[in-house]
Amino acid sequence: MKAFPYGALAILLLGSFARADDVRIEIRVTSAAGSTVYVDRGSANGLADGDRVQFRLDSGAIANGTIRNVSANSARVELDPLSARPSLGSRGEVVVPDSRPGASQAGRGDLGKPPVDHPPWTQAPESWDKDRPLLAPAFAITPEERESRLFGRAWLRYDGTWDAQGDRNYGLAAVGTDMTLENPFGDGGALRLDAEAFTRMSDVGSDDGLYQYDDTRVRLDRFSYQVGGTVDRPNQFLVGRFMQAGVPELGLLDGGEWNHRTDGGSEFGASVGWMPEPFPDRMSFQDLQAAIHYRHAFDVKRQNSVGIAYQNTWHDGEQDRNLFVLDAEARPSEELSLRAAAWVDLYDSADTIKGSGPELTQARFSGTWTPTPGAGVGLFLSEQRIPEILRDEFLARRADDVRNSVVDRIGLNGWTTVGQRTRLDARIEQWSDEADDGVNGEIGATFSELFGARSSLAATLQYADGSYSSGPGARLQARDTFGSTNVSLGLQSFWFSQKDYGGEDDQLAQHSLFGTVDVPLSDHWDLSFVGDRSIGDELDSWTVGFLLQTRF
Amino acid sequence: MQPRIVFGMPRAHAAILSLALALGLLACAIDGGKRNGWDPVEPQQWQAERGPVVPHDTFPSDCGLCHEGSSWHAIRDDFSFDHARQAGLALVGAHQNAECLRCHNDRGPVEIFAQRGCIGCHEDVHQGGLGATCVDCHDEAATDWRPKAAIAEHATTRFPLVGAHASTACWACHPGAQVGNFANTTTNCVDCHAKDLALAVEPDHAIQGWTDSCQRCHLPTDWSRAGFDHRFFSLQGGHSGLSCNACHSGNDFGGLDSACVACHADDYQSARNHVTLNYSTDCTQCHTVQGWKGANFAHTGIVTGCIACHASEYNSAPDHVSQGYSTECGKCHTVNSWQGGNFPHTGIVTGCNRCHADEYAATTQPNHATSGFGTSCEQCHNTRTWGDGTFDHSEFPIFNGHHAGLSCQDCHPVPGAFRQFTCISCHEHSLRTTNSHHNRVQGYTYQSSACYNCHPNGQGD
Repeated sequence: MKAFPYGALAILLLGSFARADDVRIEIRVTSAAGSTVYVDRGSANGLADGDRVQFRLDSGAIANGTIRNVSANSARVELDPLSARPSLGSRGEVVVPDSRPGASQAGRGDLGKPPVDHPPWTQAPESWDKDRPLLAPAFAITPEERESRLFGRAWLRYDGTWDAQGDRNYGLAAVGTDMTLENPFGDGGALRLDAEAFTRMSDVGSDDGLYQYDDTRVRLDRFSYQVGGTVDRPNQFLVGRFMQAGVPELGLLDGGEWNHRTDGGSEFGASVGWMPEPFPDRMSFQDLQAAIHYRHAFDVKRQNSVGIAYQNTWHDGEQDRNLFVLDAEARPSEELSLRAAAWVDLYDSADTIKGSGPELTQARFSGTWTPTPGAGVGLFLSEQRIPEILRDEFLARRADDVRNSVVDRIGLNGWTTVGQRTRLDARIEQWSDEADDGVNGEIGATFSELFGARSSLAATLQYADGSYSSGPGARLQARDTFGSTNVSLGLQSFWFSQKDYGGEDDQLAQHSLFGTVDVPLSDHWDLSFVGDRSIGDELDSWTVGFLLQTRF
Repeated sequence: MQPRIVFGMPRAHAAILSLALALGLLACAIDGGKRNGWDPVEPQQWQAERGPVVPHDTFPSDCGLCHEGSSWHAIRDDFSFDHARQAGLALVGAHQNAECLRCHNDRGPVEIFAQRGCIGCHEDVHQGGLGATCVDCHDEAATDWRPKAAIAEHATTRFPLVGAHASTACWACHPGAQVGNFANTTTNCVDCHAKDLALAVEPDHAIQGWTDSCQRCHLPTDWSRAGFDHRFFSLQGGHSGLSCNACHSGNDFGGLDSACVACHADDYQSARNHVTLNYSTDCTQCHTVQGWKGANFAHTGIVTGCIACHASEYNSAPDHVSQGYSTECGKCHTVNSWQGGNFPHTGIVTGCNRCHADEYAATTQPNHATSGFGTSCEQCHNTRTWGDGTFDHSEFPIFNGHHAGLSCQDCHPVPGAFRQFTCISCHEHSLRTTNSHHNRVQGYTYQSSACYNCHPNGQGD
């Protein structure tokens, strides 16, 4: 039996239980977004904030909602949780007291003359021509028209670890800012600065000082000027120190970049400059690079696209790397998202370890399928090798590592909601390298609103199988909000056994009680604390940290 | 090297305090600047000079839901916007406080960027190397952006953070961690612990070539706790609890001869007979690692030459030397024990007392010595056992009848003179009673010899 008769019956029942001095106002959906729909009746027709609404869906089922915003001639309706969203044109009705202004007329289908809630038009009709739309689209103020302004944030953070068992101490303190000065020169550009001064200290208990280390530096991550790249400016220019905009995989650059976007959404561009090393000191001017890229968009929204980039680098003037970066994005449907990227190095006779020819240095693929908003599965694959390069990009590795190291991963994860307050998560991952392989996995559940409206409790069981150790673990984490303060508290335990150990007792247990507190001090200031107390076999450590941040 | 001290504290700590002071000053400056005209945009509020959020083409057609009639720049007092309900996307963490234009700006429709995930709007400091799902590691809801559940997340890698690694700063292993660079981090112990390796001189790991596979001997907690896999040469018994140098002197850990005598040559040299008798240098043939004592010598196949090893036992054994016993121990003894020697008496018919004087002296039933037994044991005993001794008294039964149970002295009052006997010392044989029974016996005299002549078997008639 179809559901329609039930829906009709419900509407009839609603009408039959309506009081005699109530009136039913028929409404129609005009637009929809999220779990909100807009209807074609407003306060002029007797609707008011808080009125309950029933919609008849195409299937005959009923959807309920509540009016939240009302203008003279329309209203915004928030649908009840789990209610299906009515399509455009769907009909519904609201029962309102007959005493409301406009209700009686609306109930009789007489909408009357809509009230005018704006000043009279001052533009003379003759000033319009046939090519000028009556309702012009709303444009933003152009960048050039905007006032120059500074916005961003600044922070102070500290993280310290004290391990009494191992007599180890670590400390990191930093003060930094990430700020943007918009339109400083009247051309709509943006000057960006992202820098941090920090000091690090480590002391891994020894009396001879060999393990004591500290340094204080200023790190400059961004200092760039960017202009263009907006909807009405297809050309984008960047200069200074910045992450390459066209192909981020090509890295940070001290130089310049130009990108151009075509009408169809495709992009191409080029960049030249030096590549700062990916370490906190950000040493630069050793690795010169030149790169070009092209991304073809199959649709203007760039839901489906493929891209290719080529980067040539020179280390201290010596030819270093020929790198191709290939990537693709696809969204065959709303539920399915696919993404892949590959880094391919082209070696030549100067590369004594790898030998001549192309090699896949890195590849990633990920796919996510979300058939419903509350459930989905994901798959990812990756492969990674160590490139033979002259540039200092990672800790020096032995030639054998560079030649043979390869790490492959495949992972599958899934999640689903059970009812309105429970979410289940699971993931499993298999890895292998040139020497070993293993499987990691975890399964967990998150229960929402267990303590309060914004609380949650997550429980997870985990198994880790690494190169040197393996064992089960468990994690429990609770979150709640008190006023505007977010608090989380968790406990996790692992029981590892060490592989290949020649001793008698290869079992190690470690437990950690950890928590965070986020306190908004004012509209512009936030303070966060983290803490971790870890104990276990030969483990007795404290970690505390804080972040004081202001937004401006 | 001592830590560098500034103002009475380690320089790093002084720097931390200095930075805190610097931020305080910066905060004051910024806050003061706001009061002096830097008017911030309130989250999700509006500012006329910024122009409208673009695009408006997905907004409801009734402008009056948001705008007041007097001006496009005037938003209704009761305006509210629930991003989750009205756009289908919940704003989490810092997004909750961001002004609309940070996303909905003239870069174009935000859905183009949103569909790419975080990297659609945010620069990916990991340069695409860690995927597009930032929330796998970062807590979007937290004020800061620090990685969440780092220990648990790290357990999904090839290198779970175990032991000391769980309380180690990220940048200690990932020198590029502060700038998001985790690529190609080694999992070889020595790549991070080269300094520890260099300092490992007792024993000297470098000299021994122990430059990898630390996990075979060490747990990831403390270098001093080593569990070396010595299964190829079990460290039990006398080998347990020794310092490495006891065997591996001079840091010689490579190719050490596992033969016992390689370390125990001195023991071998000083051990009794081992050199002179050319004992095997494979000590395990007789000894265990529990100790030199209790050697278990396999005598299999050894049938002669015992005395070559057991001369001292021969010399100290009773009578062996004095009696000139054969040095072919196997004639009397087995390899199981010196006790229970089995002496073949074949052919020996006299002279028992030469060996068995102790047994003679110790015998009490009857007491051979006090009874004056002769030392010709063979007269009564055989060579099988002393218990089988036989005494021929059959002519005059003493084991039954009236004379049973008497002691030897009852009839043989002179010790050792068993040819002498008396019949009339018994109270039943008093002169008057005996005479009265023999008044009609011809030649009767009250003398023991006369008794025996007429009663040679002790019977009355």
